[in-house]
Amino acid sequence: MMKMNGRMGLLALAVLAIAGCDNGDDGADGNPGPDTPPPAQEVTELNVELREWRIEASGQIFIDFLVTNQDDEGVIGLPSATLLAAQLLPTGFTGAGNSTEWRFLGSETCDTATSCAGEWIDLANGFYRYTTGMTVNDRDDVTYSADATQRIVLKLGGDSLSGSTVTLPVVNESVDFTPNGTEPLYTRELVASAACDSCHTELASIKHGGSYTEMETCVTCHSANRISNPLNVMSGLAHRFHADSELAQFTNCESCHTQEPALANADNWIMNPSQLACGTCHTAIDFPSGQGHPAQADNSNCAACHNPDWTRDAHLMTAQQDALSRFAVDVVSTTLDPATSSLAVVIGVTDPQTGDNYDSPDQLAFLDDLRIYANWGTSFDYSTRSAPSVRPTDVTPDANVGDGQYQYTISGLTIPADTDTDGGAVAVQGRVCVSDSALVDCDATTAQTVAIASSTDFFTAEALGDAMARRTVVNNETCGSCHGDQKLNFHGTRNDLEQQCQLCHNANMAADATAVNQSASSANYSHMVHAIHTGLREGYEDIVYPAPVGDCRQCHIQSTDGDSFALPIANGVPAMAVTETNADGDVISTTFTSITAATCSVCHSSDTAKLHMEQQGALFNVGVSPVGTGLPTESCEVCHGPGRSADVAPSHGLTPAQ
Amino acid sequence: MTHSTHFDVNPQTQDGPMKTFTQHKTWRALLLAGTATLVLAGCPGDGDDGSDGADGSPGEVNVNIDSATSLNAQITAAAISDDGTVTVDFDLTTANGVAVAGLEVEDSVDRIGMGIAKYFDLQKRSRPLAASAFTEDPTLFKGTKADQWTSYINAVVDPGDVNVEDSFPEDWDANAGAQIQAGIETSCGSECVEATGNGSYRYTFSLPLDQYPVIDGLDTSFDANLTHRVTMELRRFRGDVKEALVNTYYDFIPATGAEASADETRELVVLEQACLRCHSNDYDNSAAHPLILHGGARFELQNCTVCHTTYSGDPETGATIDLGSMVHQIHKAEYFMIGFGGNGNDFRELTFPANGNECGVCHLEGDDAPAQATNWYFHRQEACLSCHEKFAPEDWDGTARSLFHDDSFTPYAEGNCAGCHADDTNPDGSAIYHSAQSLAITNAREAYAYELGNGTYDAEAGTLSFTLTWAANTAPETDPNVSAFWVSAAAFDGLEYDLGGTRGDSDGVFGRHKSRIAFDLTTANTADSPVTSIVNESSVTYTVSQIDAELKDLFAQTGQGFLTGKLFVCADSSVVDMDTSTLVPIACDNTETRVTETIVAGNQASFSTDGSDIDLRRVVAMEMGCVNCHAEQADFSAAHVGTRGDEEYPPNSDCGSCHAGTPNTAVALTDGSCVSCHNPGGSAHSNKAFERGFDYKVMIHQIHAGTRSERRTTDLEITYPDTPANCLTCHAEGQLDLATLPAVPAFVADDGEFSPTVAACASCHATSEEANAAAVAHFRQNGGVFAGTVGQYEAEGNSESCATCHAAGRSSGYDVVHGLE
Repeated sequence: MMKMNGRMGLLALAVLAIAGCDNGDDGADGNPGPDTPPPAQEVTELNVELREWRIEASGQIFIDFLVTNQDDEGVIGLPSATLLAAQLLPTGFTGAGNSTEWRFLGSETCDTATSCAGEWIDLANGFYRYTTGMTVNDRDDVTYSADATQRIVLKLGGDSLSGSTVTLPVVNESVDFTPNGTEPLYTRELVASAACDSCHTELASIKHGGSYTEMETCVTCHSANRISNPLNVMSGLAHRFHADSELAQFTNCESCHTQEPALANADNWIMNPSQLACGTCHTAIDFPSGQGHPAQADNSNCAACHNPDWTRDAHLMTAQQDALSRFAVDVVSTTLDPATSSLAVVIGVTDPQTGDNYDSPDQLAFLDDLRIYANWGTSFDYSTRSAPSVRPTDVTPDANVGDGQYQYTISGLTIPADTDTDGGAVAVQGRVCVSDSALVDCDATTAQTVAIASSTDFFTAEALGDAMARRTVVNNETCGSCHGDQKLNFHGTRNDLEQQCQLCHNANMAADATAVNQSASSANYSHMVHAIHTGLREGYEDIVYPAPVGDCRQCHIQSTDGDSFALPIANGVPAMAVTETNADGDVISTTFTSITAATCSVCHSSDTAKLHMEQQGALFNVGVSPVGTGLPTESCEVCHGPGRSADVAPSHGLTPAQ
Repeated sequence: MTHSTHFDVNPQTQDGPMKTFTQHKTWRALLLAGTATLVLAGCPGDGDDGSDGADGSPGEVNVNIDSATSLNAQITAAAISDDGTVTVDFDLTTANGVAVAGLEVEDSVDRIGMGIAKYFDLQKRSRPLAASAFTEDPTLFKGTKADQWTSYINAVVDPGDVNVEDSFPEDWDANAGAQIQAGIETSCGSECVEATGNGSYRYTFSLPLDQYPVIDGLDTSFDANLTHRVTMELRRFRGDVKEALVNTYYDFIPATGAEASADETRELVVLEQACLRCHSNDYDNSAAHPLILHGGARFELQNCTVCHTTYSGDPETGATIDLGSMVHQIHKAEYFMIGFGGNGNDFRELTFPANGNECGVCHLEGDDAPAQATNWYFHRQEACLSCHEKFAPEDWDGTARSLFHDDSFTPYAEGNCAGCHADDTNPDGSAIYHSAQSLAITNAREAYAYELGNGTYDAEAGTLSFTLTWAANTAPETDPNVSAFWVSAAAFDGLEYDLGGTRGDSDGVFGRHKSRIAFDLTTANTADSPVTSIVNESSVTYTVSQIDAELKDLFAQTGQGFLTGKLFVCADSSVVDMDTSTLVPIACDNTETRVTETIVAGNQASFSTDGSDIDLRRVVAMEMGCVNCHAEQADFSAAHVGTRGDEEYPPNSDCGSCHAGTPNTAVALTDGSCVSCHNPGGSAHSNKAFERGFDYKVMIHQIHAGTRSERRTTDLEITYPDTPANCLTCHAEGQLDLATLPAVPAFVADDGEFSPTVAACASCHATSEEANAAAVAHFRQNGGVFAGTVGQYEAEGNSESCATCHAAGRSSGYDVVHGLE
């Protein structure tokens, strides 16, 4: 067989012609080289394109890659790189019933200035070639196979180009391939990094100093032959820690094993149940000894009982969702009577699946609980911390309006003088009894109670509607990025974290004058939520917030008006009251702290921070509520307002609002 | 937008198939195999098609020199042809390695300066002094002479016009006359440059070596076997070193074409180690007085050497411009010459902060020292005269030869020629004398290392007892080599030292310092001494009594603090017959040799009522920050003896308890010992205004920033070789904590109280309200006290909030606003 390239082919033709023999055609010219980008001089982003990869006969790994910046210009002179490699064992390879498993092949770092494990070639045009010093055969605990799926991960960044003080962003780029030339015959793509980031913001921020940004990287090391504790192999580690976190809705496996967009192996969790993955949550089970489950020596029998559909339905609670879809409650109208401080509320109860109307709530055997709360004063965060309520499951409606609509009266609203033109809020919460996919009589032995999604509506003295709706600061979607959308219930069945909680957790909550951090002791929603998530609230000290805590936008919404956390705080939100009580619970003193200072000082509680606030008009523990008294006014937004020199957003590491 | 003006992509390389010689060879081997097959098998029918060529490689890219944002040059080779043509090959890139194109284009750069020198026998300067009477053959006995650089490019320069100023020294032009000056070639520029590749260039010197002007008496003949140096300075434009300036060099041997190894060339002092430890290399920051000269063009030490040669001089003054000699004189504040434009370069008021007689301050030795670090041992005219010339007699003939061949010089008087002319009998040459004192000090410090144990203080009994671990044979009080052993006990309450702001009454035993006592251990067991001792094996236990709790009320109330020692050991520092073994501790009353008194510092021990450890005062500066310019264990005695600090007032006398040169002279500057007097409470009497504040941080900031209104010991303005805005010169990252500083006591100056952060900042930014009223207003608006009433800061709740914005990393962090990030 002759092997030649284009130009040499011509010469070969001439020689062979003398022998009078036919000969093969010349080989074609090679393809043109790749487009070469212009050189970058300013680099704030790194984009990596892996162009070629192979395992050399020696077992060394070769990669050819192009690095460009934010403007698609070639990045030249990268000072270092880390390469990691892993081999994927096929399903069942390590035992019947076992899923695919990663095996760590090795990793090495090339620091061009100090020591480079392999051979680094910087073509000085954005293109690089790297041949590792290590080989895929270096480890005793894994046997390399050219037919197996292999993964190479390239980590770049975290350092600076020579002559520059800008720290390059860290990027991880990976490729899965089969060395024998075919596309990977099997893969293990179970969780997208984006799914992690939806709560963690930056996966890399969790561990390892920010070096590893992608799930594809994590699994190469968190593999059975690299990690001594099997519970820290990725499936054990990820399930275990998330189960321990007690965040809501952990049973929804598809929170992480997302189906949209579906990864190649997103259904692996239902196809290949395992003792390790299941046992991390079902901790009462000891599989080998048969505690809590018939004894199982290994994973070979799991799928025989736990077929994929069953497993999925069980964890996603699809039956329960079906049952819940049969009941809906809506506020239809409100009528405020300022003279009696009461609110008439009409609700409608229906079966959305059939459009049928239900009897009044007190007559519904499947309805375990239904309550309606109301409060007044949406512009000043309400007039009372004890929102009055009515419980339709316990009372006969004032009137049956017809079409499944029933009227109730909530009395005892607090409507301060001169606030007639303000607004109010009415919140509905409840709990139904379900069995399998049906709503059932609560007396049934199989009945389980399930909270419905609670809801909050706004009204004015005139009518139901959003004309005087309270501002939206966080919403159920942002809370749901970690907790699941309306899946976190407090006080039984309250799960509208967006507006319902504030009916009681409002400005009328007083902070504890004896607390070291007074603001963190307040149960006003803002102070309380900040304090909980930063581990500063009593009882929540051990919380480990899963994302950079300065990422205000994890919870706060952005709208056309900008960030909901932008200063100043809405005009009308009153100062924080700080009280001291005696042994009988009687308030013996009350002071006030201005609202921005109260909010910021939950976290920024140092003496110098407080002094700074005071010197800029904040008040701590003054004798009267300061609004309108002639006392100094907070001037925070002069420097910390949107677009200002110390804008809250960039001060917390965020990009300024657009 | 197009990038076409900023880069070029080589279309041939980009589009063409990849063809390499490697493939060629492979093919040839396969072809032979194929032919052999044909012979055996006859015609095989159609052969297989050749396989396709490999894909092309990506193209070459570069930035044009006009748009490069940084510049690096690396000389890759240099050669000198038989006809003397010198070529230099180099690669030009940005800092991160992007090829830089366009240097060959006319006027692409502001200047290209190329130097060429050979490394050969020293060529001596004709010194323009009184008639040189010494005419005999100087080659009789040379000893070791280190080779020196001789440039091929030289000129004889006559004195030019001078802008004479009143400040010039008397007789500044007494020795004016023509001088040889070595130089570099700057006239050819891009004309001499050709591009040889992508970012690769060749510079060809404008003339063959033998066509540069030949100077009478200067040997510039070419010898291909000698080490040669080419230097390059390349400047795109003035004013931005990082973006636009390159200094580089290349040492090679023309005969072989090889790069010279470290031992084939000359490097005595490493810029980064010796010079930049005190000087700044923040080249683009004029406030930092960076070590870059000649109009911001030259900073690389190796480049300096091709012009500042042994034979070069300044025609207007007759001063040497030999690099070593010039640098010696500059740092001794003795140098004056006429520089560029006929302007005087006057270094006579330079404030060199270390001992200029201590060669080791700059001539660093040790494991990472350069190959020729010890070349300073070897004598040469210009270097030796740089110090000794000023001691020459009136009728001196101007040569080193006549000056040193005189009985006033020990080696000459002893007949030990190798005492200067280093040979096998004394490879150290004259360094044996220049290092004698430092060797004696080192030996004394090694022999007399000691450790103080924690002290136990009994306020009621008025006693303090502690144990000294002592390696010497006899206790300090009976050791004739020990002249004094002062130990200080300074009270420290855990937060800050406090002098008390007033003097105590006279007591005759410990002086009037209210919170510190000092006593001399060598007086132990003598009449009138408060010190008694019990000698144990390798330790001595001392008890100090008569500590009057009323006279020393602050000391007694605090009841705890630190013990520091200052031991004075006598050592023989005289070298006789080149014997250095005598440079060891010696009896202080020895009158037969030169005795040097050495201060030996020890540890900082604690004292308290139960002898337990006291937490150290916060450390807010790096000792190395001081050492980098002031050298190890700097001696500030002179600064303290100005008032009542002479020998009549020892450290335990009324005035001497504060003013004595010892033990107030700290040998560590950052461990709090200085603050035991220079504390925020202010001085005990004659307290000065803030503009010459007594508090340590205020004083040190003002001295180094040049903002102090008056200094007791000098009227020279400091020539601080960095910007005082560079906090990191002295303070390590993390040492400055603006969040905890507000808790430190306010500084009480004569003109009022200054809160702690204000005191630190105002010492540079506002030494008085008039100096910077806006800054003072800002201090006050944010909780600071400036010139307030005493006690005001504490009464207002210690409410500085500077840290909110000015702590490290904050929006206006001190690191941000001082440009330290």
